[in-house]
Amino acid sequence: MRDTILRGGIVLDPESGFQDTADVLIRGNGIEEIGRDIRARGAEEIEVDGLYVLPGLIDMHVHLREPGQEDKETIETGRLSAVKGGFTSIVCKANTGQIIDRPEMVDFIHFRAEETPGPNVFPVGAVTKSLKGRWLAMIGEMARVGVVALSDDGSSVYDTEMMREALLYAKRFNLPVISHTEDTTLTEGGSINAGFISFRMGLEGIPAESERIHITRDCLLARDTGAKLHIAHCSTRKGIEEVKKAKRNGIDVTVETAPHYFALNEEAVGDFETNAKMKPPLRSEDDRQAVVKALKEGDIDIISSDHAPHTIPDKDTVFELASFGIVGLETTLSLIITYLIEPGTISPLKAFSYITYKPANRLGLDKKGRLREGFDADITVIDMNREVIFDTFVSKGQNSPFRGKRLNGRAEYVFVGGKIVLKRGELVYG
Amino acid sequence: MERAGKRNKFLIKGGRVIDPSTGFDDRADVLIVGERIKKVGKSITPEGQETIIEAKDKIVMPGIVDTNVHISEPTRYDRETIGSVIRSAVSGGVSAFACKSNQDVIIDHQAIVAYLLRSAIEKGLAKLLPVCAMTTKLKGENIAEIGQMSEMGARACSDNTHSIMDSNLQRRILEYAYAYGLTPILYPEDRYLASGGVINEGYFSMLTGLPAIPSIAEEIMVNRDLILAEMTGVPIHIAPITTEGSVKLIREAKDAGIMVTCETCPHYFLLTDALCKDFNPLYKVKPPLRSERDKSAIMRAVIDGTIDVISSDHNPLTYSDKDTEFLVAEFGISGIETLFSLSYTYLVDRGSLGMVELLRRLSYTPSKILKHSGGRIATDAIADIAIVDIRDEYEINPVDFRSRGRNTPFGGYKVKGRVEILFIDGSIVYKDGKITPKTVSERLRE
Repeated sequence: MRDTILRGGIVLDPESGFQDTADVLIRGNGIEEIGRDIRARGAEEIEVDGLYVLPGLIDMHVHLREPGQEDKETIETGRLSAVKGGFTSIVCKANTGQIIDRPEMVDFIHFRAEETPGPNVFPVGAVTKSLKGRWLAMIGEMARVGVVALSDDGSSVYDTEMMREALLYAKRFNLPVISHTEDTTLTEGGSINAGFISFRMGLEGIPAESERIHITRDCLLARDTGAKLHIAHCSTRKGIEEVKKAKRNGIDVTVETAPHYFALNEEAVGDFETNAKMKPPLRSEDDRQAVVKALKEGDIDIISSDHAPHTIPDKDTVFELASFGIVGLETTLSLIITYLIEPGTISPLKAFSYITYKPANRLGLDKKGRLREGFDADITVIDMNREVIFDTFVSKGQNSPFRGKRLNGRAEYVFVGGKIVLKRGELVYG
Repeated sequence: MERAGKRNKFLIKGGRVIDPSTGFDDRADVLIVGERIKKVGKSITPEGQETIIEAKDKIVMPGIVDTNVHISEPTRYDRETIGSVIRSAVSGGVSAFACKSNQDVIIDHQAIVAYLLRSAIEKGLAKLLPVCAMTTKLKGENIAEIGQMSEMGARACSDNTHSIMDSNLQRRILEYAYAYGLTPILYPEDRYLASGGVINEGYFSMLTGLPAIPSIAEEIMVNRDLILAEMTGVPIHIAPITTEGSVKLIREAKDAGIMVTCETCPHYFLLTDALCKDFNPLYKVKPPLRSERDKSAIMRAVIDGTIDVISSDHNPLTYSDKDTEFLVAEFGISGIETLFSLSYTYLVDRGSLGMVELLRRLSYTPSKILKHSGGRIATDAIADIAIVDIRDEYEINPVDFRSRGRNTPFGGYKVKGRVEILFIDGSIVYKDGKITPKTVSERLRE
């Protein structure tokens, strides 16, 4: 395979804080050199003048739906969607049609992901069998075949004792447990944030406390067990505060949010727009500002898309019956640029840390998340100024409130393990 | 109130009068006319008709109000009846107590509230303040007839130790209870974590091999209930708390302006789980006795006021309920008679708490929580007054208990603070170890 040189781009490595114009030499599947005026015989040159060269983006919250719900998404289409959005590694959750609760399911995901080039796929194993919350899944066996975390995402482990046992088990295998944090007794029947808008629309509301109660519960359990805890899709001011407090008390906890929680508030539900229906729901403007502030101050550790593709019939129905979730792999990068970087709220280095080395560190992904000699050549090159309007997505799911919106920034080139998979914004096959 | 018959008149002379509602703590005389206090002041001159009670070197204080008492009438008369608990109460200086549901008596219907109130009034002694159930049969499924029971005279609502795991149901109950003026009393225990446990989780649960209840089971629930209190804006009372972590959570919540009060019991600041190592079922209580560290944290919290109330968690049991293996023995301590003496001895006499503060925890704040008029020694206050001798030390002997439950681990403890006289509604109901119920005519007037 020929060497590749990315010439003249602005190289960003969020972990070291490096930001300068430099060339990057890719040899084999690794990064060989970063520096000025690199010369390498026979190397393919790619001019990336004025573009940002980043470590490959990592999304630690993706629902790939396969096996079992291939009408919504397959591992292949999900990976293509990820490439389009600039991601080189995605972490897929266990609530597929058949649950990823045993080692052969983990193997299946790996196997399918190796069939075609594209982003690395890191599966998350279920905490409990069939996500039922009654018996622990085969945690040890799944750890051996390479799950990076455990989560019943999509449902909560309601039984406190079960959650405690899961944390104790996970600790033994050094795996973080990702908590869905939803007190289901408070959310039952709810479809949007509880507040004035839910009242006006006559829809059952989901109170912010449903999230907060389980965040505090799981933080206390993490303190008790000493296990690693990760809070998924945090959407409220109080939720963020609780995690901050837990961190101050020395609990090993991290927290993520999704782009829609800093880009939109509950008003996006508008006239029963089912494409703005997700769980947790879009919150109040105050909560949105709290999310932005927490990202600015580093109280949130990770941004992930919570990519949840659905079919048209899933969404094109009565609001209360419509499925929860939106697709996000292709819009996440543009939303971060448009809503966080462009207004000057957050520096590019900081903003990109949330989708590069921070998720890599939390999940212990080897040689990922950094742009540095010796690391994997997972590289994303982005054009910050390019205007994009999403009409359709590569993903099977078209359910997004950002369709038709004018956003800025997109991925131009993506390399995974040294192989180019996205070129000038177009997917490269083979 | 105008009364037909002859009015009681008493003049209590020369005692150290303590009024926790104002912080008054000084030598004074107290004049009782009828069922109320007419006057509190220095050297009140008798007019001639008063019975004069010499209280020099004694403490004159409001009767104790116990927020956590259980009875077993009308199903298990062998454990405790209304008659025995009331006689037990006055022996301990308790002038009013909250009567909660338990496995024997579930107060989930207005008829039961009425029955309890009437039976207590007939006895003419301490006042029974009914605490109604939150859910029918304490099942945590449907809200009980809170409104009707409130009208019938319930003061607060509680599902006793059956904590409600369904957060949404708990939230609705808080909202209902508030609308009917009932204080929600919440028992902090995550039932999943506590399920089957009989001893605190830690070294001693490992040593004994007994199924354990972790302290986090309490803290998770305290946390949840605080969030629900903040969410609904309804003041809650958490009872009892026993761990260092719970104290911290409540302190933070109070600092943040959440309306919460909480209580503990003497055994949580005096005893530890180490005592369970010989499998003595007298030390089996729920929540379980905690570690040394928790014990001292609870003691500190009582002193600094983070814990607002001390209650007995009176759980009278028969000899055979307790005289069995630790695992199968019933939970509970018969505590109403030792509540004041233990608290006084270990917090005031051998501790650093002031008398006024002690009575806030034992009388004034409980009165407020139970919407009761007690806890005051001031002009026009109801004359529920205890006269206590704090000089003599005596030994607690369960055989002397008036309660049918003699299940106490404090037998043989040397304490101070013997109640000599207890007035209820201006009548002496207890004097020098003898109970003197109000006469039939007095009772009828009520």
